[in-house]
Amino acid sequence: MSRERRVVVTGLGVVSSLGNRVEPFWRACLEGRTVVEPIPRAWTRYAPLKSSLWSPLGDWDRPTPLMTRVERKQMDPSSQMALLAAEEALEAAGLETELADRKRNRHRIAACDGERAGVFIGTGVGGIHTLLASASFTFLSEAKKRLAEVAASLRGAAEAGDAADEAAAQLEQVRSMLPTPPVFNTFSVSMTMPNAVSAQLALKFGVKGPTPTFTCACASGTTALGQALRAVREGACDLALAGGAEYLSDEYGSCFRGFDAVGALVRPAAPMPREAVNRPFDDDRTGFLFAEGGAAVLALEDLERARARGAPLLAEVRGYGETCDAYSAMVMDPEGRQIVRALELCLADAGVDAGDVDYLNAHGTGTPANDPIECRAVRELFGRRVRVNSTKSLLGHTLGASGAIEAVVTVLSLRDGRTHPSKNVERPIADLAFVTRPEPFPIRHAVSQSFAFGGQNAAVAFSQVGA
Amino acid sequence: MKNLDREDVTRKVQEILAEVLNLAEGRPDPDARLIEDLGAESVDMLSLLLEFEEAFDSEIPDEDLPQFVTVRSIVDYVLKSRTGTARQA
Repeated sequence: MSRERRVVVTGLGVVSSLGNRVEPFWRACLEGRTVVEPIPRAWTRYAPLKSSLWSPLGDWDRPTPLMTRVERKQMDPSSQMALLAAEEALEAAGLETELADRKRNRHRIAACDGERAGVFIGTGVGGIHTLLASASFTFLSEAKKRLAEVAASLRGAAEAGDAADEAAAQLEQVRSMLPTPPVFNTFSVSMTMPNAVSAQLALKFGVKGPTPTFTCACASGTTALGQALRAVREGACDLALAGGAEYLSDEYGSCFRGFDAVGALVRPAAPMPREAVNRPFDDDRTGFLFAEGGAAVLALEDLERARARGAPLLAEVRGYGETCDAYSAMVMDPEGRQIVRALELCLADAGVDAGDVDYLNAHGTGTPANDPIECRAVRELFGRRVRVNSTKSLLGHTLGASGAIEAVVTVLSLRDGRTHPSKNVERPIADLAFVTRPEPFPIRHAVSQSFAFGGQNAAVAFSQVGA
Repeated sequence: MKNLDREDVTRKVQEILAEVLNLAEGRPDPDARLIEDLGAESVDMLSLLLEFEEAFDSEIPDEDLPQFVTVRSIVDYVLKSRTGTARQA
């Protein structure tokens, strides 16, 4: 295979709090919409939480012949969302699927040999929803039975009086605080493993080429795209379904608590409207908005092959760079040197000068410590010309899905020659060209970047096809 | 789930088998064998276990799986388990 192969995006799919199809999602982004709600009240029973807001997904599911009721029960929500996003991406790419095995409900991509296709998915925590549900069943189901028995025996005791009734009521109250699934899910291992999403997409569409999973926390989705670019470019496959998926809700708010405990989440110092609390790159930012989850999948193809079959050529995936701070597992290196180097590697791979990059989809979480480091790196490399926004200012932080969703935004921005406002940047922390209105501007080259807990930095460059 | 008679349980078991095994012919015959006639594989048995546990609100120990041979034997198992005698079968 030639090293000269060029890689294009031919289809997009998304599941998010702002829409479960690409076009409604994109309209909501351009309108600067956001979904910010109080966290489930039950979570506050288990921990004294500092943050009280999140971005829930709403009704993300939809009927599809790709997933039966039984199959859904054997897939973590992260896998289900990724499958919906992949279905949309394939449809948009004009890659029809057909039923290959009725009994197993397996499909195949009609226009692509399964051995020449790959799946590249990023996820920060894999099937953690399933893991926590299975763990709660294991830890608590016998204890709950025992609590019920003791409560019943208290009520039934011959000398039962008000005190016994009160004790029984309290035991029942404790029991009600311990939600568990009705049965232990025998598929918990294959639902929990981080490679479950890649595996489910491969199974569903008969993909028999490379199907790796990338777990680089918040950079997972971007890393997956970059590695998919390399695989298609180097000829390991002709088609890659690349993206990210994350689902972070659980009955006890355990995932939320983890980020809350380290003070990473939004915590407005003064009362303000809910939609104003999430403020990446603004002086009044207090942390990131925890998102319930999301997924995005991009269909990446060899340009010549895509052109030959008349596929939509949405953008070229032009370059990729990745580095690691090797500084802290949770804190960005204040020097930001490895962020700059990831961008430099990405641009060198793309053959694009920093001065020619028109649009940067920033990591932009909204944490007090990280935003200034990112701004300094952007300013150092790109100057003030590049337009900058944070998709997390709309969606909150979907961790391992974020890089993939932001890549979808970057591709749509290239397609339409405009992008969404970076919400709530009223007092910018840096002298950068933050996008405040969805006005048209010429975009030939764009970059999407992500940084992770763990120190991983990743950047992907996209260009107009032929630019 | 209370007061299920043999007819109710049979219908439910048939529905679950038809759905889990994607049976083209719909509800299977009561004497149909899961593996030989209905094409159940080992992973299907796990799916069935999960569905039966939920449908009949009972935990099914792995060692009882050999009793799941035909539609009828599953119905017998469920009826016995609901009267607390399945483990002696």
